[in-house]
Amino acid sequence: MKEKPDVLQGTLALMVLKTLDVLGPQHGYGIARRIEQISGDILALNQGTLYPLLLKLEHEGSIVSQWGASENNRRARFYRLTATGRKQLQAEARDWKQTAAIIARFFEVKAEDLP
Amino acid sequence: MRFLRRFFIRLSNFTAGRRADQRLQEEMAEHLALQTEENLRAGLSPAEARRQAALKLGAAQAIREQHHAEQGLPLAENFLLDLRYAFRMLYRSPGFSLIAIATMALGVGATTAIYSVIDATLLHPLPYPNPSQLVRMEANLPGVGAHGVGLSIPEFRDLQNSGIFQYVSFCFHGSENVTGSAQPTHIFGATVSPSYLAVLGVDAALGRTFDPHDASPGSNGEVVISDGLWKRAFGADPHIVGKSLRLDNDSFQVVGVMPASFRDQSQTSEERNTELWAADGFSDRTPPMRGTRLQYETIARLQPGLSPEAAQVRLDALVASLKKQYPADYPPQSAWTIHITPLAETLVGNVRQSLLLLFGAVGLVLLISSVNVANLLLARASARGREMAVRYALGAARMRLVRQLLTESLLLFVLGGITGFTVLFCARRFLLQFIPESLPRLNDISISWGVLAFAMVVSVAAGTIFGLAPAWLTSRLDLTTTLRQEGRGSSGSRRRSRLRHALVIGELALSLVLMVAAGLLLRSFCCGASGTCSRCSSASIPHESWQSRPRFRIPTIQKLTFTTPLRRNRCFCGKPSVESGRCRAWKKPPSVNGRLFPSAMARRTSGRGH
Repeated sequence: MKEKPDVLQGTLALMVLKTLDVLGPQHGYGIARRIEQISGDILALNQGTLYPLLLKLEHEGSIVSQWGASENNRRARFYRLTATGRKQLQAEARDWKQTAAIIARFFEVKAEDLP
Repeated sequence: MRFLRRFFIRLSNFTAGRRADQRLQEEMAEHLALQTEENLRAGLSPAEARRQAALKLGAAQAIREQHHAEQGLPLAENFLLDLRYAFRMLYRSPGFSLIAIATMALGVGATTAIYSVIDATLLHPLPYPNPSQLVRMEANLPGVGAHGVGLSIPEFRDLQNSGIFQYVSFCFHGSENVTGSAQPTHIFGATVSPSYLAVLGVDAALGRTFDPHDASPGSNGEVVISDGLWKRAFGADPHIVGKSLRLDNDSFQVVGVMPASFRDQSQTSEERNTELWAADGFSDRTPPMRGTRLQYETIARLQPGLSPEAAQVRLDALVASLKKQYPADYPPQSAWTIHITPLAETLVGNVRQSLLLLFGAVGLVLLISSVNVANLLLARASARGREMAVRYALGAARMRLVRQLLTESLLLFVLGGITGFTVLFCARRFLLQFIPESLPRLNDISISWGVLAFAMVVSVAAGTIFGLAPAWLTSRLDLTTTLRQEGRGSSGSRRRSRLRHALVIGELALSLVLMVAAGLLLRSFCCGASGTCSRCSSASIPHESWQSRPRFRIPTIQKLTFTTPLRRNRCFCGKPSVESGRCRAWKKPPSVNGRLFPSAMARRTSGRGH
């Protein structure tokens, strides 16, 4: 069986920010669930590692958190994207697309294409 | 920006002791509950649903640790823990700790003591604004083998008008009897040109200094006094400005009092403690001649932005043009030159080498004591092999062990440094007695914050360098052997003993170098001080009086001699005589070939009244 790729440091943060951008305020489980759905179970994610990351993003000012009620009316911590976080997301998304595009072009180039 | 924000939040969490464990517990419980429900909906049995949820969440303890590390500053937290442990270890082996701390105190204390001297003399030689502009000038006639021949009045004026200098001044140090104050006192004074204090760039604290552009001939009767003399002789009289005092029976008017921090520039400590400056201009009795040179110290302040080297180039050009203009006064065979030296260099030039050598020697002492402590640490390492092995077995990372051991040795070194500094601080007055008085700026040697910072930097640096090797070797162990042999004869011990041997050999070599250096130092400091003084005394007699010698025959003094040639040593050795050193030189007409420069006592004949 092929091993599932680990989540790169930094990419997980980007995924979290994008999830919060699309879905609005979410609790930790909601974010983990969403990442799992989108990645289609390709990524091996220890869901628990989300929590230190969420704390780090909170310290950096990209997200804020507060207590709220979950779907089954229990106390849960909800995370919300801030204006800083949105700007960070846009900048990182742009960088990521650029990098991906460059890598993609490298793979497209064949020997006969070269002048 | 984001990094800084994160750092400050973590720092504040750490200092305030805020923890987020409770929050994480709740969040994880909720996460598990939601995941379990999801699994139940997918048709798993309750037990299996809980198991799968826990598996998906991952290792709870590891997550908790990560979360905790993110909340605070783990490095600082570990450091505090290590420090506490280090203190406990220190307390548990007081003998070892005392010896190590005392050794380091010796090394750091000695180095810091010499550093404080270097700080005052070599690093801050001149307590004046823009000290790099200050230069001393020396006129030489290398063609006839004469050096320091002095400048004549026309030459002095040429220099003043050359545009190279802001001000040019001369000064002559001597001593005087002050009367007209509460009690007659004998002080060191200086006859200076009115521009002298302007050259040094220090203004009066009370009243004013001399007008640097005052070109009136002879003495204008103005004196500026030091803060010390003002307080001692005049009881800090706030209305002193304008009052008169008598110097060897001549009347002068006080125009200003210098600030308490002001010290005169000079190579000797006596002259640095000059307490009175009398302004003097050139005599107009005889027409100034180029060949008539006056033997005064000439100091000047360069134009801003002009380096001494550039000034020397311009000065050489000036000298060349003067030689062309006055060929009769500057015969080519005398090869007249004027040489500029930065003032700072002339003041410390002669002690720089000895001080640096001394600094090197105490550096070696520091090195030896550091090596000694490192050796002690290594010796203790074998006793702590088992402790390390147990920590290692319980999961401590190697870096973590090294960090802990390093903290312990750093604590030892820093405590040693603090002890050394404290001893130095308490004994500073006692130690200063041993410094030869010829050292420039002796009075400004102080144990300041800069010196404390130096002591701390030295001890931390020594602690890091000499703590690292023992820490590295102590933490390097073969787990099974050490544990099985109950901490004795671990495989690292051979490596350790090899290092110990190397350290001892190094130490011996260093000691040998130190001994040789100390011997050389002793030789260079002590030679010339041979011979003992049978009897010395000094007397200060007003000018008019000493010309009529017989009145000063005192029965207890067998023979009274006034020696006019200037004697540099403080006392005569061999036969009983009355010392007549620098104070007599003050009265001696200080010109090379008979022309009088009007000093204080010549005022009446050359002053403004005439």
